[in-house]
Amino acid sequence: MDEETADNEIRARLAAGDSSALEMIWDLYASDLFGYLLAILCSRHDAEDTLQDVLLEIVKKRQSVAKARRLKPYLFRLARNLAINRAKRSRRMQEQVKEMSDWLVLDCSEKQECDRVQQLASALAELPSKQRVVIVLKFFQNKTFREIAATLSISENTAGSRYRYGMARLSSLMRGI
Amino acid sequence: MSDQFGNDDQIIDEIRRCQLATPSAHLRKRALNAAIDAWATTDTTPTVVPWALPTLRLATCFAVTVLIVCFANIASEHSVARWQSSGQVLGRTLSTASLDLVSQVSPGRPRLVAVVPVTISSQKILNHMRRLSELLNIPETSPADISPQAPTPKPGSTRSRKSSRYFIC
Repeated sequence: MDEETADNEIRARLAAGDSSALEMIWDLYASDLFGYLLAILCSRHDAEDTLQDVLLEIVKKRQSVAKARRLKPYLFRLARNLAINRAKRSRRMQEQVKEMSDWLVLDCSEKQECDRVQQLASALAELPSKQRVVIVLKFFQNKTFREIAATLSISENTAGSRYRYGMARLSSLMRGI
Repeated sequence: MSDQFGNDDQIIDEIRRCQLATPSAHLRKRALNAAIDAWATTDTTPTVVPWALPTLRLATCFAVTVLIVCFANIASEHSVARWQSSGQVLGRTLSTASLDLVSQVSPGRPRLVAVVPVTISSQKILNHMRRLSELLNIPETSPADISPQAPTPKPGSTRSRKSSRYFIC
């Protein structure tokens, strides 16, 4: 089942009042949404809570979700708004950026190598959220700029420039560490 | 992506050693249960009919506009009230005041030209002027006394306006 067919099925179930649409949404989009939320919030705990909030918001707005022309960008925007609200509410973004550790799983064997990767993760967390999101979607979810642009409702050029500026910033941060 | 900023390749290599955390099965269960519970209790019938919001906005805009205009009127009336006449006429001059009279006064001869409409405030001013003229010993002249064929001043005797002692109200 391709994405468009699945979206249509979800819309039809939501409109019909069938709660199994939620499971479909989870199976299709939970992983991407969770990665996106991790990229914004830099905290596994907050991302989990926000993902749950996203599902509750979908339940609340199921009539609107059923009418959404493109489901994926709609859900990502919903997730982004909730994540920003959570970040504002908790006011912990800056602290999390410094102490972050739990949102990335590090794959390393030697201690020196692990330290270097940990430093990279910290530098990544210090990037502006918009740039970090593009880099995370590009590398960890293997999306093309076209897919990133479609997901975030931005232009491909914007996605590309955010990536380049993000990488430049990351390089300078890594040199400074 | 080309190595545009120096050591991008190394950074990319290091980024690829990291992975994003994935949503756990426990989270799936917890979130779906909460959502399905909410599904049963949430009322999705819209509380606001579709046309209500634009209508409400329009009404609010109209009300705000009326308020602004009202406040502007009140402020205007309050600020210019002192310069508005009361509308009550207490007296009138017998002759029409004309600025031509002023030009016909001999500059060499000090005069008091009083061409003041008789209202309460102007009457007070006139009284003050009279007292002042008495104090300075300046002869008072009514506009009727001024001859239309006043002698033209000699060129040499012309005085500057600053130095001439006119009291024109």
